[in-house]
Amino acid sequence: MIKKVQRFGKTLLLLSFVAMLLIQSGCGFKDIDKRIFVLSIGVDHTDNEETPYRVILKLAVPSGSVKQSGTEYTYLTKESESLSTAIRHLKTQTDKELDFGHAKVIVFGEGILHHELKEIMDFFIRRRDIQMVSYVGIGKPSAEKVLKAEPESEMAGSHALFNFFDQNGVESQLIVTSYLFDFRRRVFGNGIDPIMPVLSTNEEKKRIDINKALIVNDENKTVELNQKQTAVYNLMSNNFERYDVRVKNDDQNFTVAIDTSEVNFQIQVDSKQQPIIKMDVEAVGIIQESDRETDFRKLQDYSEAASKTIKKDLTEVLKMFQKEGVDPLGFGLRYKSTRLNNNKRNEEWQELYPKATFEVNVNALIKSTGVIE
Amino acid sequence: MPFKNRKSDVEVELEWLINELKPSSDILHKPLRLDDKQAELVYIKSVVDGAQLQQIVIKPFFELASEQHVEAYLKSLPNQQEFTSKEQVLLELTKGSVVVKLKDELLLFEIKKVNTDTVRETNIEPTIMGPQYALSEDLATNLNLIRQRYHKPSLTVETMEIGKKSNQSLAIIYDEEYVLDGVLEQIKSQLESLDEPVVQTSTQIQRFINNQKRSLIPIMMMTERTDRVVYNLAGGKVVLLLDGSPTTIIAPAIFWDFMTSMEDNYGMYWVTKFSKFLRYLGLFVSLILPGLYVAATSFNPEVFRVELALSIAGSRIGVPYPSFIEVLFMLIFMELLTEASIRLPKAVTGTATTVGGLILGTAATEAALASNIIIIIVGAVAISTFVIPINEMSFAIRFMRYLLLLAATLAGLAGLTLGLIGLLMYVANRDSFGEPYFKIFFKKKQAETRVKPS
Repeated sequence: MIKKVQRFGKTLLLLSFVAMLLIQSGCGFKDIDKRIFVLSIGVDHTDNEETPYRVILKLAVPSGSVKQSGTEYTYLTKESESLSTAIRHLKTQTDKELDFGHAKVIVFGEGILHHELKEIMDFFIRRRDIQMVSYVGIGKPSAEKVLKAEPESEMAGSHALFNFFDQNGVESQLIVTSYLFDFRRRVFGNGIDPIMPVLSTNEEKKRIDINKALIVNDENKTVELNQKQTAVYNLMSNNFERYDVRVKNDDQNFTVAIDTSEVNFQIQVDSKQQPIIKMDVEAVGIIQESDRETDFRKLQDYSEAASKTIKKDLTEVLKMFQKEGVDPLGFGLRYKSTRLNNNKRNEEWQELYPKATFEVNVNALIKSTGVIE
Repeated sequence: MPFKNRKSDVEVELEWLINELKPSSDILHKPLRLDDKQAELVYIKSVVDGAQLQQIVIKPFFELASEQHVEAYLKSLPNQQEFTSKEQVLLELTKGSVVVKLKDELLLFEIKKVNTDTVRETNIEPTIMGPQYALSEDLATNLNLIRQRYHKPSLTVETMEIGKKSNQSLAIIYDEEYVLDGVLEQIKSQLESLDEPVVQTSTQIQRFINNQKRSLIPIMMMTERTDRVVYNLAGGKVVLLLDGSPTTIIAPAIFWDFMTSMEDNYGMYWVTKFSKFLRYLGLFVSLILPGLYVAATSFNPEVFRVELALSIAGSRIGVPYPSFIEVLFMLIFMELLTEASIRLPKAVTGTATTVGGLILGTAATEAALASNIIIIIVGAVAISTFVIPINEMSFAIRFMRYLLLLAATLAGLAGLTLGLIGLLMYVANRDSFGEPYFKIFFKKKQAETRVKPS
């Protein structure tokens, strides 16, 4: 009998302990309405070297009915000597817990790029609640202006910047998507350079344009790609399979919409003097626009013309990369990884890259003229 | 026959029987006499069918010419019972037998009056296809129902009495050819060692003989469907049928049995696969949804889409209590509603569910006691609980989700995952009469229910 009571007592004790745990509001248990979600983080450079970082947080303020009133945004800004002190100060500006779980876009102001990228990025890598699948971009004229832009097409509850990058919303060959984990890899590793989309906004802050990209090389030198170069980069890096080519023939001008493509490259270093970077492009598409009548019997000719144009486009961009000394496609990485390590492959490549020649093989196939004849 | 040819003994026996039953007012001791024919009847009026007694015993007694004729007639009656001991006779009298003293002999006849032999429509496990009638509350009728659906000489029915005081008859039904001997023996020995004064329903047996003092998941399956009984008999299972109970229990039963509806055998292949998928989906929804809500709102809002996080945050504006109290509050109300609609008379149930479900739900969100989303979740949980075809399992699942809710409240998604693993381990650890409870049957049915090697 006593034993029974003892056992029962033990269970009761255990249960009451567990029950007590429920009333303890630990740091882990914070209800969703006691948190405020940071949607995007901007880092700008101030001219003051004492407090060089200007951190902007875009916060979503949920309202009772998302459908009717939509989500409102609010912004917190702080200048500080480091990102973490800035965040710490920003925390005191709101009554709720800042939750970085949904901070999926990180925008760096153009000015900050003169600083060591590793240093700026470190904070985002270390913080466990910022996801490594966040998107990284460059804000023009400043990160703050980009974050504060509220495009008119932005709907309630969905953040426009997310839609640009996550391929659920808009898909475009002009948008380079750079994830934080990939960005980190490119910054720390040598042989491949970080590339980021450029987000630019106009004065009225009613629009965000993303159609350019920016490459930062190891010496912190930045190279901005124009729209065409961005599209070519997306094609070459297999980021985006679609590509529009304007083919200018002697007799006929037409535009080919490539919808499937695959790009491979090899590096051949037979003689140390002349390394060859061979690039094979397979592309399949249809004619989208033409100034003359098209003839389906001449598809073969059209394909050849398109191949030629694509080859020209690609070679131009590759030569530009080489001239500027940037390597966003990772030729150096490929060189290192396909040769036995001797601890100086990187230096070797630095010497070889400027001397390399490009051999681009394009096999474009136009499946149809795009009209029913 | 120990009482034969010992005149004084027979007298004494009869005397003893009457004395044992005496204080009851419905005991009848009736001597019959005509010319040189004599007999005595002893029976309990309230359990014996009077008209039948009149028809098959009393009337022939007066019509037949001599005592020899009467004796020959009575001894040829099909409802004559064996006489083993006076205690047995006493017991049989309470069940509706009649003792006839003829010459120097006591004869026992079963002339029961049964008012519970109406076969009811299925109401615990209704289906669209398949038999629409379930069982009755009378053992003989039920045995008839089962035998009429399973015509096989190897079908064996053994009867025994359980309940130290109530002495209910219990039938153990199995197919001699397919039954697993180990299971049968284990069930029999456990039933024999059962020490309970009163056993009322077959489900009670399952609670008494599952080897655990406190059990959560059923290891025997309760069913009222004769097609399920037959299906399981053919699969080599043992069916227990208690007199006075409209449900049978089937052993051994493993987890997947509880997720099967009889309609799975009747419908089209893809249709039944789809409904099976729905059922398992319902199982998971009703298990984890409340916990998932707490985990997602209070620990890991980053796991789901930002739109969802904002919409939950928006709908929680003004809700005074933390998410787990909110969930618990609504779940408990839902459970109360379920309980109430089981207990209430059928006519009132509709009103109760409408008032409870609709008005309470809307009012709770209006009053900002609960968020809109929790109403959806509780609704989804309530519906999906009922998708599980066997009631006992759905009640067990109903309980389990509070454990998962607790785990999620303590440690978020990690806790929920751990809790699920824990439940999985608990279930996998159990067995039903030697059959692993979570065994996955990947062989064909024929291979799994093989014929016993003889």
